[in-house]
Amino acid sequence: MYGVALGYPLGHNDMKILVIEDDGETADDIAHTLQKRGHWVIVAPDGNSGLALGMTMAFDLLIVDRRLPGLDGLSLVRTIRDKGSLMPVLFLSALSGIDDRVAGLNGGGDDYLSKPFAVAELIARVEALGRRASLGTVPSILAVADLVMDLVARTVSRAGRPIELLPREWQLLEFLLRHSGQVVTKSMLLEHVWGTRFDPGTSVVETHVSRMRKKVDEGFGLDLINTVRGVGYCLRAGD
Amino acid sequence: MPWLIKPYMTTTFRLMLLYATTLIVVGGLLFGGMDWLVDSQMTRDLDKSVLERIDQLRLTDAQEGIKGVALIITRRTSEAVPMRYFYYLLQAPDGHRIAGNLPEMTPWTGWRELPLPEQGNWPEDEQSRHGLLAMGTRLDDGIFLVIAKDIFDLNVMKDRLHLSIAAGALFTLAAAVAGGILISAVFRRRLDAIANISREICHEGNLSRRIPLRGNNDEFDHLSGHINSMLERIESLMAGVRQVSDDIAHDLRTPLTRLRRRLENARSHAESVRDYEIAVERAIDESDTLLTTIGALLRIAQIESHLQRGNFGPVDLSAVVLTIVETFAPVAEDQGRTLRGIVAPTVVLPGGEGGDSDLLIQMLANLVENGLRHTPPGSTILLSLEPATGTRGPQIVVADDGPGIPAAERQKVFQRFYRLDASRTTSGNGLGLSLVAAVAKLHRIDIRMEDNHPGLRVVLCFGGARAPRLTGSPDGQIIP
Repeated sequence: MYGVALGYPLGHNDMKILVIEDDGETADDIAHTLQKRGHWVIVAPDGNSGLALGMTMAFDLLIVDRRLPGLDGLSLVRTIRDKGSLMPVLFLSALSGIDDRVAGLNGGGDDYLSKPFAVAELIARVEALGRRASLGTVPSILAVADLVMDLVARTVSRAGRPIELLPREWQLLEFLLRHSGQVVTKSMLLEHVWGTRFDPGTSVVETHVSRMRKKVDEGFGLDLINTVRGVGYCLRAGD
Repeated sequence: MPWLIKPYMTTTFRLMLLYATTLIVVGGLLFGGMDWLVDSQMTRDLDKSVLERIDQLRLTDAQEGIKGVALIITRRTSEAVPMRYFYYLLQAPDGHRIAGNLPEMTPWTGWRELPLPEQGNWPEDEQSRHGLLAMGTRLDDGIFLVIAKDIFDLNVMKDRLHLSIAAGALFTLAAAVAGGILISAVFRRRLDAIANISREICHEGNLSRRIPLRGNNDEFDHLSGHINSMLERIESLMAGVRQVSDDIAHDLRTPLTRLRRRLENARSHAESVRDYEIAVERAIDESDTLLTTIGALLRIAQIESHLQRGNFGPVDLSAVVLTIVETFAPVAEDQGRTLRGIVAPTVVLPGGEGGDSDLLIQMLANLVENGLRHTPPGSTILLSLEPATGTRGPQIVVADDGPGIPAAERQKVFQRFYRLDASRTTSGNGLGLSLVAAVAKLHRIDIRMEDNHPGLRVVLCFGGARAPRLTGSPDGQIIP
């Protein structure tokens, strides 16, 4: 799970990202990783300089450490939010308690990642957040290749053939469709599809995805749901 | 004792001082008032007795003339025992005494103090107390009448009163000081007991010390009780911290040593880039396992220290259990086992404070995964939610028909890193049930492990310790 992403698909990556992190090595790691993905990254080493940058420039995403010298991460994000900014915020924290996560999300964060984290997990969450901001309107139909999900009629079909899904499988497919082309990690699926942050010791996500995949991909020439080894899944129409 | 060195610094001394001052001020006011009252009353009585006699003689003067008056005075003053200490003077306008036992004097009217006409009849020490309070008045024809009374009685009375007041004040003062010292001493002793225990705990680090209670249920007992429960809490937290660090020291050293050995092997034996890649891959896996274990330990510690109560809210137990069944049934099927659920509808968590549904899901997930992990293929795991009855809260049962756990081991499996010999080879870090125990404790769930004949039956009973404020109808629906 903490392994280096291999064969990670490169998407449409040109986000402007502000990383506010006081630990130099972590900040460099993040910046380096995201730059390799084609993003444009600025690092601020403390809360006050981070706030100054965040208030004066427009970014597609802020990555903010909870504990910062000067101004702490929560106050920083609250200040920026008070000015009416809707920039997506990803909190980083060494505090892994659920309470801390809730506090972070209530305090204006859009997602929360606790240290230590895998590089692949960071990339997946960063790119999911960047995409979320640009989505804007909510579509009533999600489609990739010949797979079509009608959110109003609650039907799924592939190549015109209807597919019957259990509620959990439906939620999984919907989440993958909404993030089509992006890598979605298992913990993202647990958080969003199960709506809870539990840590299964068994292959819960794999089992449910493989059952859903059987219905969606089996018997059709092209596999839409791809496994990204050691990271998660990616729904896309081809390599 | 420190309070003898700087007594004015202690609260008890200041309390004592305040107590004594208050007593003295109140006592002074009381005695002063009493003195004034008695004095004025006695003087008034004395005045009245003199005035009555004057009125009486005036009447006699009007009815019988001055002769009658003189007669009465002569009779009164010549009596063997004269009307106790009354003195008279009836003086003609030309200045000579008609009757009475006072010497002639220049006429005057009103009240006046006069010296006694004769001295030496009294003992020396009484001399100063004698004196006359005299009323002078004029009758018809310019006749001057004086009636006077010796104020000896009054003075004696006053002296006695003052003496008793002084004695009373002295006694009050003594009582105040003694009481103050006594109260200080009592306070001091109780406070010293608390302070000594605190000092011992600080110096020796022995958190098992407790402040002895008197059992009289006073404020000090209450305070001591609170401090004791605080100490208990600190002790259990400290024990938790120590436990975690011990666990980390003992059980994380093994995988760390393994990790190090593998890296060392790679350095000395790897012959190709591929070898290095494999070694790095393994090292990463090993670190991941370590990180997961540390994360689990921290999480347990956090739950145990009750820090996670902030996330409490109403919980739909039926929904929680259904989620687990729905989530793990396919997993069980893939592993050749069966997960069945019998879930009573609309069961909510009893009690006012609710619970943390994320933690409850984690707890049940751990129990179900344990069931999957430690049973042979073909086993059935039954997860059931039973509604509250009249005598107990709702309960969740996780039962399997696998090998079960020997009775002697049932409590130990909740300890960190404890693993049954039979399960040493299966996956898992030995923390799953510790987390279950921590979540159960946080939610005041009574957790029991029973024999399922065959297999293991884990019973989670909600609202165990506290009497649940619910009324249960026969079909078990909860009416909160």
